[in-house]
Amino acid sequence: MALFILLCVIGTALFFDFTNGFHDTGNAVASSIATGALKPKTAVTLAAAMNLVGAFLSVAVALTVTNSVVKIQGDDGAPIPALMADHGHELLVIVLAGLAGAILWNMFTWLLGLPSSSSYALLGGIIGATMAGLGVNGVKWLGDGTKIDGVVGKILIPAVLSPLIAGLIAAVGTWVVIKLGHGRDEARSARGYRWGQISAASLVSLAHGTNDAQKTMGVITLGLIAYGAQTATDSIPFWVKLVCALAIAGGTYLGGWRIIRTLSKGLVEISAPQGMAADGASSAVILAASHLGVPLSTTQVASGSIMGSGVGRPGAHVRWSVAGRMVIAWATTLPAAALLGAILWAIGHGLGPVFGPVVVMALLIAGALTMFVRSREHVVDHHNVGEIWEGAPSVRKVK
Amino acid sequence: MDTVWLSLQGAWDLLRYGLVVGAGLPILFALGVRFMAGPAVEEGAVAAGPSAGGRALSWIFFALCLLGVIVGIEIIVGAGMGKVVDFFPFPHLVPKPK
Repeated sequence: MALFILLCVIGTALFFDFTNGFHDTGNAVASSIATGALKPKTAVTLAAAMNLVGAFLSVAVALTVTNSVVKIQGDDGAPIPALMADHGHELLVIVLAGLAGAILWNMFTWLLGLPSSSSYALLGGIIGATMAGLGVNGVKWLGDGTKIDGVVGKILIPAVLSPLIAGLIAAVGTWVVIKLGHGRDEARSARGYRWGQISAASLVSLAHGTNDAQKTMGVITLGLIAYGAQTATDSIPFWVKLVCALAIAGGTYLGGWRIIRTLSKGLVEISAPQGMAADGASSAVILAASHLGVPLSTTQVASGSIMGSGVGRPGAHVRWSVAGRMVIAWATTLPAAALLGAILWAIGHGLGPVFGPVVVMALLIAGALTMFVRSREHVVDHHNVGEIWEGAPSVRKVK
Repeated sequence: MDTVWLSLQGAWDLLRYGLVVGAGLPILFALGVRFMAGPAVEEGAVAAGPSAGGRALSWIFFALCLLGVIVGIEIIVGAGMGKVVDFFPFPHLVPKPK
């Protein structure tokens, strides 16, 4: 039955990758849609294509996805021997519960139209499942101090600082860009800004495909090693790359319209120069962080940039109530995903090696379906994503 | 608490370099747009468009932004290949230092 749980892990990992795609589409394209630089469908198609290319750029994928926050893998990425008994059953249960918790939290925040970090949800789910399985000592809180590491260094500090940094940069950029546009021909200027936005959005999508798809590739390969289907810790099977690339691109193409709507219409009305400055700030901060080795959440940076661009445009009205809801989602993502991961681990572990994973899968599918059905009560899609914001995350009712 | 200190240093670096490129490149791009757009005209009138000098200037600013995009792509490709960008003497990929 170890094979069954391995298949469950692969399936949930791909499902997570898919939610990762649609949850983060807005990071790259929300402001392009808001300013009309790209039509909604064109925007998600471009983002999906860039994610696909980005995923295939992942040549050297680190297997050490979880090493920064938990102690279930060794330095080379192989599972620790204590979890390897019976085709790595213990490790697979932890990973399965963590992934399922992350998916449920991603679906929930998507239902509410809130751009929370998919990566923090994934790590949160795995942290919770590890704490439940191995105790508090299974979690790496601070690291050894030689590099930025641990829950504090990789998640808590960046979660607080990176949106502020992105917001400040976007605010400065927007303020100057708008000054520079005064007294110039508006229609011609808007055409110019459009290309700036499209370029920056493409860079954000490409970077997303490279970074985020790698995480799922690493998780699936970790499962394969735990099960004993693979021994090499320095390579990822091609089929894993292929399915991960397709899952994240497919999710991106689906477009998380509820989240796109919040980012493009809910936070602040976005003008063309402002959108260009916001996208420029997002892409530069994400790539500078990648170059400097500073961890951050793409989602929080993109949201922070859009908010900052609202602060930087004189006369713009930032809806702080929407921003507040978003910040609550950011603050709760790690503990909530961890709690879900822990509960699902208890179920997956407690109900026995066969029944446990079956119940975890059943709960995951039931939860995801429930949230999907709820989402159909107030549909947000490419037709109504740009309608006037009236406070609620959606405006059109079906039926 | 070294992790906290390192994280704060990282955030400070991100803020400094981020301001230079994250605000700087959009500003250069906006300068390009400004020179390309030409002055505003009365409603209904035909836009004058850019002068030859303005057009040339704007392409210089756009070219600088394009360089930024190229370095950005290099960083992404590097991240996929486990490499990093070395800026000297020109931006190129080198193996990630251990």
